Amino acid sequence: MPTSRALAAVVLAALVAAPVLADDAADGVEFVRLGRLHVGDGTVEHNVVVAIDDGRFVSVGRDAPPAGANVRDLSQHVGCPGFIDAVTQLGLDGGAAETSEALTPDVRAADAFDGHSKDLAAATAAGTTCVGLSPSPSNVAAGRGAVAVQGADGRWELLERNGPPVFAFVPPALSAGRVPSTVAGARALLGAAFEGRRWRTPGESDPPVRDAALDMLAALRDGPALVHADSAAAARVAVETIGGRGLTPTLVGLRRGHIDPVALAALETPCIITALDPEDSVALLELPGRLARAGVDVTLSSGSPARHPNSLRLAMALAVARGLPTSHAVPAVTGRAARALGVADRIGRVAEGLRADLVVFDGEPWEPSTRIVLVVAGGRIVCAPSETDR
Amino acid sequence: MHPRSRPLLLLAALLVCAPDAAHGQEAASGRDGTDAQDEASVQVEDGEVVALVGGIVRTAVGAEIRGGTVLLRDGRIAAVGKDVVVPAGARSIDCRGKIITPGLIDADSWLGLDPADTSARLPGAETRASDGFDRWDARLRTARQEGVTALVLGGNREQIVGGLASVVATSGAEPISADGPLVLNLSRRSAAGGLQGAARAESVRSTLESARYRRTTLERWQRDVAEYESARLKDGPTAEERLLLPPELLERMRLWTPSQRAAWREATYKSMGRAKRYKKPKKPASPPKSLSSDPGADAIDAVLGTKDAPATRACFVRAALDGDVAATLELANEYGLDVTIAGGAGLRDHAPALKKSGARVVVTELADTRSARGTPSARRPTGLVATLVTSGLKPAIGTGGAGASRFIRLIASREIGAGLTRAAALRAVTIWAAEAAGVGATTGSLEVGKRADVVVWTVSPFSAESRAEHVFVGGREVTDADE
Repeated sequence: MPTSRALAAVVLAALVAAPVLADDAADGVEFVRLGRLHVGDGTVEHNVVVAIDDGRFVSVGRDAPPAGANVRDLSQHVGCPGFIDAVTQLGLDGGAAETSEALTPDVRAADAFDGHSKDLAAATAAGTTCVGLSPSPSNVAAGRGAVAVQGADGRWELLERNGPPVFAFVPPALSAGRVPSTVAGARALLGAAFEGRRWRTPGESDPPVRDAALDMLAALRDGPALVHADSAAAARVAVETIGGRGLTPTLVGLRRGHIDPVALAALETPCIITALDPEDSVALLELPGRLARAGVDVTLSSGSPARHPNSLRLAMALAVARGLPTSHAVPAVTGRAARALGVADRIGRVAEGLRADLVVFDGEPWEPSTRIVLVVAGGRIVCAPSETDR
Repeated sequence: MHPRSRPLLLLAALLVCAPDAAHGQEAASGRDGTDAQDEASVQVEDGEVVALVGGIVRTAVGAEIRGGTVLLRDGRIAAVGKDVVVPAGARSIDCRGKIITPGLIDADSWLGLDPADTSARLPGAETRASDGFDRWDARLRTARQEGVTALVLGGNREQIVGGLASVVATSGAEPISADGPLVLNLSRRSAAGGLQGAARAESVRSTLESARYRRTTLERWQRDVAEYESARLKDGPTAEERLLLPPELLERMRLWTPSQRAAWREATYKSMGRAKRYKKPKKPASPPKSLSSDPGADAIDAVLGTKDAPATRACFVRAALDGDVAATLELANEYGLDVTIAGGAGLRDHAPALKKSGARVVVTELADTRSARGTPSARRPTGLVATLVTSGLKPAIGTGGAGASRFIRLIASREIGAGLTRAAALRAVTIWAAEAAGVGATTGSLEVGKRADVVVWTVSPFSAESRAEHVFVGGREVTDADE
């Protein structure tokens, strides 16, 4: 299974790169000189030259580009990897939630993906070049996420059709009218399903759990998983259940501001805080900062329902204004997001061999007042507002 | 001295004194009612003077002053400039390298209002938003930490007539202005514009039409009463009486009350068989009580303006879409309204007409916050504030939310990314917001005599990393230290 997935990924990546290769073959390597570069893993480089070829970063360093090379001088500007919105419904046509059963691991967000979505076009203009599409957290095993990227030809396309499985230990999945209705019940149900058996004989109101679904869950052995949990107890149970299975969980959707960051840090599990909004309680707005200071890897994403693509940058600004150290701000929407989605080997950093997704700002990326100067996706300029709008 | 001339002299003396007396009273009550009210509420320790020394002063009205000092005394700004002498005994705060700005104002907020108050049925148009303001709302603390010193509470947001907007201080002191503009909602959160908006505009028109009818009816009645009173009070003897009556009687008549004179005349003329010559003035019938004693109608009446008598109360109109803005301008023209239009994308196409009409504008729908979820992403008016500034308008920025008010600086900051200059962005959340709510003379800029609503920032307030180090609301420091 893992090998076949990796194979599929390589094939997909090759497909993505193909048109660029064909078009750009004559142009050769392009160089971008940047005043400052947020690599995406928390490090910052000054006065770097980024070389892009065949839709990938081929080198990142201080060496001057060769004479006569195609150099774009942005030495007054700040670059960072294209933003990755790890958990979103942007570009999902009609959402992806089957609420009839508790276990629907075979529902794929990829099947609801709309590459022509206007929202995704707006996302590109807001610096987001990759989105993690998730089925809604309305079932305990909600389905499979997918990863889509801004393609070099202007359209969005799927980078990973079989993204991380999504689990939910939150109220929409734990509904009173259905089994399970508690976190404890969800754990028992999922534990049984991982072993390929039903938790209990369904009543008449509960449609039987399909065996195909059980097979699918039983086959999950490693790789990343997204787990919705909104309390410390749910988080612990989720980590034990999913992590105990061999999967690498990332917690999604913590929205209770009073969560003890130290207790969460003890779980040694990264967190995705979704849909930070100016209307949120100050305790929640301060949560990313408190978690980061306690040593938790924090990722920010726009969550569901679909929000305006610009809300990701506003979320960054809010988190920074309420205590998130700026060194965490860029990784929170790039490198860590890629890790949570299991695609860190392909995107999320400005590093040799990775897909050339780059956003260039006229200031720091977390400042809401800075402008996007350039968006590069798959090695191609997909948005350059400074050149077209002014 | 002749005894008759004594009352005259007294009268003359009174007349001479009167203007002085009136003037004195005015001076004592402050520049206007709100100021007086405010003065009472600001708790300034006796003679405490605060000097913010050596900062980068952005007054929101003039040029930036580097190394400037702002002096706060008795809840007001006492001096602003480079060469301000700090009086002995003043509390001096070193602001070198820091940015000093007026306190930020959200031009359309409901922070501190019960969500029910913003949608439930109002008792009447005279309902003041500040009466529903919860001074102990915990979010006010965050608002102060984020440099917000005042909120324009835009009243009810669902009903067509949404009561009176108020301006409140985030310190929880007395409102800066309780009795503000009349709120009219052509668009509302749940359903913006379209046919609904047109129906609402018609409804506003009929409200204004009844107000105008009521005003004409009351004015006619008042004129009739005045005529009646003047006929009744017509002083002194008529020409005929002067010819016929003995001087002693004429003299005595002067001392009678008007009703005594009327009674005497009635009796005398009747006895002389000349009742026809004396017509008793007829008291005009009073108008229906429903017209004369309705505080809601009074609140609405004040928004009507004519060429000779401009409106004494402004209107705060929510008009999101193009058609709503057009309808508002039409109504403003027809009824002499003095309008502030709060809206979004619909303002863009009407910029020249708005400029011509003198309307003030508030751009909301910028926050795309949870409370504004109904707004589709495509409608978020990117770059609108900058466009309006280019058109010569002075757009204020409002969040249209509650919690979002706390982060007005970040919401405004995004407009800088969309082409707004930093100076204009500061104005949009200070002086222009104050002007949009009718308190531009009281707060919103660092000018001598205004309320001491002042913030000292570590760096520009439009940076996410900035911190408000000192926040003064009405001269009182309300800086809430983080735990």
